[in-house]
Amino acid sequence: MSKIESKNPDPEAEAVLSQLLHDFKNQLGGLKLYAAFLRKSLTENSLDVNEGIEVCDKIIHQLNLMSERAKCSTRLIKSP
Amino acid sequence: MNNGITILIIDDEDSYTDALRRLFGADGYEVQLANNLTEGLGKIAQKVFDLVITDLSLGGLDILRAAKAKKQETEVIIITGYGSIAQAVEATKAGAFYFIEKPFEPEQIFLITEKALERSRLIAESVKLREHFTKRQQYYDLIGSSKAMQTIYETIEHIAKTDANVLIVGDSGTGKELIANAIHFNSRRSERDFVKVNCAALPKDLIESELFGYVKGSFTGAGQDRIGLIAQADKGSLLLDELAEMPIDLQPKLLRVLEERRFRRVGDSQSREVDFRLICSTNRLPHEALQNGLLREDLYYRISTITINVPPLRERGEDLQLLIEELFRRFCERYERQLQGFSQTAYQRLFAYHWPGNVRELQNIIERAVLLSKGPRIEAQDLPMGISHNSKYEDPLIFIPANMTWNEIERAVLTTTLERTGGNKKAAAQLLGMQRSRLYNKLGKYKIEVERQSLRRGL
Repeated sequence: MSKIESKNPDPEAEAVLSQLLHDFKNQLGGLKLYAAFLRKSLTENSLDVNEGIEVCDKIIHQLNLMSERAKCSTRLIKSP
Repeated sequence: MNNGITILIIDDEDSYTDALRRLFGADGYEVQLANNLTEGLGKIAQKVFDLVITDLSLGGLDILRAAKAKKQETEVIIITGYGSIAQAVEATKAGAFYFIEKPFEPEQIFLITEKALERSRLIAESVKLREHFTKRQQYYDLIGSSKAMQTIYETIEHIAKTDANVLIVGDSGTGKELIANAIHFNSRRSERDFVKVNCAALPKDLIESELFGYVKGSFTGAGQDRIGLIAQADKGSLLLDELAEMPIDLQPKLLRVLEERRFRRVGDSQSREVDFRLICSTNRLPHEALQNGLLREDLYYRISTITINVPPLRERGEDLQLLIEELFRRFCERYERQLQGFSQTAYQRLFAYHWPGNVRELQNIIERAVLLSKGPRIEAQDLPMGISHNSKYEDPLIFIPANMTWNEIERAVLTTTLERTGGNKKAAAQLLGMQRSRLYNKLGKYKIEVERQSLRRGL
């Protein structure tokens, strides 16, 4: 955060960045939990195929969101 | 598996709640989800959860308070994206089991969940045990946790639901009537009448008509029909107190009622059906009453299907402290007195007394002392003369020969005091005017093993 603050003193942009980072952390946590679920179900051989596909779709959706937010963050950091 | 364990997860991040639902669901937990405070509070209002996992920023502390208010044993784990020590302290103070920062490792949340549920289970068990123990200590107004009383409580629980006749034997004032109450009010007949007859209090020539009832004109003064106490007890219970005082010539009639389940009113030609449970009590030893011709043998065997022997108070040293404290509390409450307890001397005198009048006498003495006490505590002078001056406490109880060492004297004092309190260490410490921890040290030092109601003198 300190590097971002030094490059970008705009408080509005800082608040947006902070929110993006918070969301990023949240989504990362969700992904970890989905991965843990898949691992557990596969290990225990209890995974229903449809549920597995559903979880994979959710993971892809999360990754897409995170990717969007990462782009947004980059733009904010690069802006003068 | 964890069937029946319910978890509520409250978070606005769908990926968290959804993934956690699947993970916990795979382990057999029943999981419900909420996306915001209102939804979360609504679910808590509708259902008791074993565990609540909530985001702090969604009003996690309000959720925590609501969950705890609903059921104190519910554990709450607070999760947050913006962790701070101050928040963690506040959450913990409010009763949160754990405060965890996002993103967390899945293993971490599982471990914390298991520990939280284990604590919840242990608390629930201890609450249940405490309730059970409290109930056991004060079973339908019976007070006592000694082995003898525990056996009585178990017998009551065991036989109350049956229709077996019960004979309660014990000295006056030991609580025979309270035991009879406990049997009736725990029985299937508890909604019906519990008729109590004191056979010693009824004139001998009236007892038959009182018990069986009479028809108009059957004897001088019988101006109208009257139903007797046996008929009143129909579908309920009948207590014949001081049974050995019932006239011997009336006892076969009672036996016939018990055998035939029918009775006939005085002066009536027809018999009537009756269904009651008989509880008898006596302060005489049954074999002596039989030998002295006060009780018919055939009736005795009929009424004593179950015999409950109530020990006199002098044999319940272990319960004395509990009785003193409970009666003191009750009378202070009843007479709105703010007393601090008993002085050590008063306490010693109560323990030294031999209680011929049993619990009834103790009850009267505590009531009187609570009413008469002028200071903040009950002093020895607030107790009746017989207790405050002429008790056994004045007697030399320990013989100390000239060559006895200090350690031997101390050991003798400890064992004698513990014998007097029936092995109750708290009461013994109070009598000796020492902290309980110090008493424990001394017991360890002298290798004195204490068992309730019995004392082994160790090596």
